[in-house]
Amino acid sequence: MKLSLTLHQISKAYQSVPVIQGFSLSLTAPDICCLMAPSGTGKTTLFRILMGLEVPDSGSFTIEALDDASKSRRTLKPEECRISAVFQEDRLIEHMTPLENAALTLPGPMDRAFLYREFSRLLPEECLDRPVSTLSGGMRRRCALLRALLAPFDLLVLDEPFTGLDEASKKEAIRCLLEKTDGRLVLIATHNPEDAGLLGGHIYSFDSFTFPEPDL
Amino acid sequence: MKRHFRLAAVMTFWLLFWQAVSMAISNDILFVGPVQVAAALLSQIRTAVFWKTILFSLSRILAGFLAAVLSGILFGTAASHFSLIRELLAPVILLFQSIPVASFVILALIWMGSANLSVFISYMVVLPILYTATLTGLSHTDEKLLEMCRVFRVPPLRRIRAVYLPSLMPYLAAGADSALGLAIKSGVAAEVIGVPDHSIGSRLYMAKIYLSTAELFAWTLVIIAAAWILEKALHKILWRLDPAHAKKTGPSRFDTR
Repeated sequence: MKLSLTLHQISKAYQSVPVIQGFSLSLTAPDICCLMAPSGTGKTTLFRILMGLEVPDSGSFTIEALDDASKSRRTLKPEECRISAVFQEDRLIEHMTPLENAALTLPGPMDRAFLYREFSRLLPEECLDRPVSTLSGGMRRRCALLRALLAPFDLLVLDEPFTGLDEASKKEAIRCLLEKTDGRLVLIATHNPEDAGLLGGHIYSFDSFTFPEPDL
Repeated sequence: MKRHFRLAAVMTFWLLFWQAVSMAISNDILFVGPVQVAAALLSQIRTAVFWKTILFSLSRILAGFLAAVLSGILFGTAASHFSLIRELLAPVILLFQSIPVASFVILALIWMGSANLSVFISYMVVLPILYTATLTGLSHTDEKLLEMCRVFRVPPLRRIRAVYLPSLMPYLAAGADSALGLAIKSGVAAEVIGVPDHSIGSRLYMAKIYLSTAELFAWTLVIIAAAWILEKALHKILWRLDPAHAKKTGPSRFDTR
């Protein structure tokens, strides 16, 4: 389904220091939206609110499903919208292999052949059956990215997904991302303008998430 | 190879030292040397009643131990989920930890007689340890991984295997390890007080009555050996159960939903 995400006047403060204030944004699938803002400004907090891990102090966001044929909009309940994410940290299960990490978030029994094929695109084959704890930072990041891309999702949220990747891996990862997210809504936080350029889509720059001034 | 050689050398040194000390003291009631202990032991090992005694005590101690491990994990899991249960159980656990084993033993003798004494004592001693280990282990579960599971909607059974169990295992393993030794020592001590028939404790008590220090040492060695074997077995089991060590079984690894 085509998704529409609307954030309305979101505010969130930590210990009476406002991190996000009066933030509004409207996005419609298919789209790749790059949120560019300096570190510590509240990108992660915003993403946590979208993922349902935090509740905003005020304001809200709605996710609607748009039906092209009947042109009708339907507001989705949180449980109806599947979200996939790459967090700032890798958040992988250390003792499991990359393939097992992906299988964890996929329904049904593990389709090893499928996962092997997909993972070999970004990771060297010899490390696919090793525990994630033995992989380098860049490999773990790619693992987290693939896990998110392969899980079924309507909305994909990525928090600085390319940290620790060298140029070649990054380009391949971006290619993979573009291919797998075709037609869906992607929200990605990055501070690298080149990456944003490679991804295409819309770029939203903020100095902070209080008093937002989006410029396209 | 070299390590074994050195170990053997160290053991030999201490055995000789022990024999020398016992010869110097030269009083069979105060202290005996390895030769006499070995003799006492050998005269017993051939009898059926020796093995019956070991079986009697160890089976009861182990039964109490296993029951306590299971209930400790059960109560600990419930307590980590429901703060009401945790608050309710806190004084009870504290009580169990504080009451001296001797008091427990006499109480147990009044309640149930001496036959299954060591089951009860073993249980009482092990339960607080495994309960606390479970509670602590679960409280240290990585919140970030749990958040990841929430976002990706990982089903509960998979969450347990992937996140909770590996987090819990180190604490459980350490708890079970120390609890086993404690269970054996407390169980045998309880038997010395309660003197159930055909128990290791009763043999220790007999050694006291007959002032047979050689028998005392011999049975002590038996207990140490039994504890050593049981702990090795425990380590093997724990190693197998740790999801990090689970054998790779291929495609069907995630067929629980």
